[in-house]
Amino acid sequence: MTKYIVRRLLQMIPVLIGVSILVFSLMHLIPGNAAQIMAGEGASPETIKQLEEKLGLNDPLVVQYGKYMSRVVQGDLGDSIRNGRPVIEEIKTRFWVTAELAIYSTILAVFIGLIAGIVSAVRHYTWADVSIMIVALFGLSMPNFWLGLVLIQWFAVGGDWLPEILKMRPSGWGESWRQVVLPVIALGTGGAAIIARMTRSSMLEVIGQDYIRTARAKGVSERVVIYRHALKNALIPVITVVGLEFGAFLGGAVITETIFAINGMGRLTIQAIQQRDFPVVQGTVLVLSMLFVFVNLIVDVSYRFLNKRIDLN
Amino acid sequence: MSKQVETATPAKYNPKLEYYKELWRQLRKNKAAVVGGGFIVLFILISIIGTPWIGPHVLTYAPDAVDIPNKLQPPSADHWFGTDNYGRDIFTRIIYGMKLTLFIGFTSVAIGGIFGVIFGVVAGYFGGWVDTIIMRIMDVLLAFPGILLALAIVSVLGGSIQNMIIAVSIYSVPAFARIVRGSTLSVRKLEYIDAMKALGASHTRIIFKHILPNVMSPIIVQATMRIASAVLTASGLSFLGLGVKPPTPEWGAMMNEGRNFMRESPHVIMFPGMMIVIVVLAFNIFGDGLRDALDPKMKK
Repeated sequence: MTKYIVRRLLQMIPVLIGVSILVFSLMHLIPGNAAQIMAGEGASPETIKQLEEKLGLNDPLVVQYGKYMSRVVQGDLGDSIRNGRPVIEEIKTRFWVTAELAIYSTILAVFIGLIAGIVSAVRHYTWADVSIMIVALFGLSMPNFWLGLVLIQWFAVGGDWLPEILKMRPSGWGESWRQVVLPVIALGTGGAAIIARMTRSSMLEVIGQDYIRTARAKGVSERVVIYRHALKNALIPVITVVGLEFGAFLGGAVITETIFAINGMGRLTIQAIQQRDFPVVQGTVLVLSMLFVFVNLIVDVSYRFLNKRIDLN
Repeated sequence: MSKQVETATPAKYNPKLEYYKELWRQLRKNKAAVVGGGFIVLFILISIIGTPWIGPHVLTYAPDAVDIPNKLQPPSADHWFGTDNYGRDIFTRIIYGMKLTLFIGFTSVAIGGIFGVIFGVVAGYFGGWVDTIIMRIMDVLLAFPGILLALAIVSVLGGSIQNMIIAVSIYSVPAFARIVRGSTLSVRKLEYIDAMKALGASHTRIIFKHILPNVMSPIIVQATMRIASAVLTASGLSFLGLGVKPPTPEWGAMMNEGRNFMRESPHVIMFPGMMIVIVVLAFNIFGDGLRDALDPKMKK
């Protein structure tokens, strides 16, 4: 197992280098003069020149990348062009807000997705199964920004319920559960639908296997067959989906945070894009991607750990 | 007197035609796929209505006709879906937006699909270092969570339909590449491919004539599903103000404009949002049906 983890960690290095190259390239993909665009239309030639020097845009690309990487490994993601604050400080204050949003959404998605998927599989081809799968299809097809707006309309504006959710959150995440509930539902619904579909499909595959038939033939009760024998193996492929969904939530948080005015990394990214503050955009994209890569590593390792049949070597 | 014997000329066996015939037979059996497919045909017809040649003759209002005295009107007989903050007819704008939504969905998936299939088939067929390099690049693209990659691309290129299609295409490439590589790997090991090599067939001929037709099923299913996700991504970018810009009647952009008025006039966000749900749902249902028809093992 240790050997496998070390190998996976080593395999991650080229991916992380690739991610850093792509993020570094962002500023160089800007059509025209990057410094001029960042400085704004009315900027004087001196300001543009100063910005070019500050960002090191006059150096050869390889040198720029080398400098960028040496700063990144030391935890320096540059400074914001707009307020001059270190990007890492901006991210530090908002990181946990986004991480919490993604974690709560994952918990909600797993909880609802698993229950719905199991019920659907156990009662396959009944009205319960059909209804759950129709709802799941809707959940899968709903844009999270629309769902977020509809929830605000229903609960906060129309129903005059949960009015707190529209309050600004200067300190980041909501102070009460009421501020947490709607963004988590808006973000987690799509994931719940995907997990429900995956659980159902995986359960049905396992239920059809010989060892389940043997367990039933031995006279084991249906409850024990489903929950002790089938579920354990059916959950293994679902774990991979949960990891991928966590990543989707990190990306989706960009939209959800914007709708619910949550001061997380997603909102920071959008504000930075609107203000053309590219060091901040680079920083948030890099941190969110690295977090996703690490979560996938943990998922991969736990997948192998749970699925004893896979040869670790 | 000699009797003329009539013999039926045996129809030439065309494997491609047979494949599509079988696909059609399987699809017709799947009610959900028929409904999803029917809706997609309907969307295409609606998008034809939304063209400048037909629209003005069929629709009462122009998509950009401003009518401030009638702004934010609720749904009525005159304005089926109500009006927006400039008094523009939302129903008309939705009809015109359909063309744009389908165009972005189809084009970005076509571009992403072509590149993804090329990368996937080359990686799977040649293997070795070619496979390693291509798939590591795909891993890098997949390392960006959710819509973040598309967002980052649009943020540097600037918001426009063209740039949004580029962003959504790049976002679609790794999904195609992974699936096609996997399918190519399994086909590559079959004996008939070895036989073709022994007969001296070129790599290009083997790939185009023998590998690609055999990996078409997962490509078709993936393309249908990706259109749904491309529509969601594109509308999400426009909603954030980073994709298609107002006054273009793109549904995400319409919702972005309507957000500030949703308290008093919820219809300005409800109808464009519902249209996104219906279009994405239709493609998802059709994709599910296609998958069941093309891969009986998945039919659960």
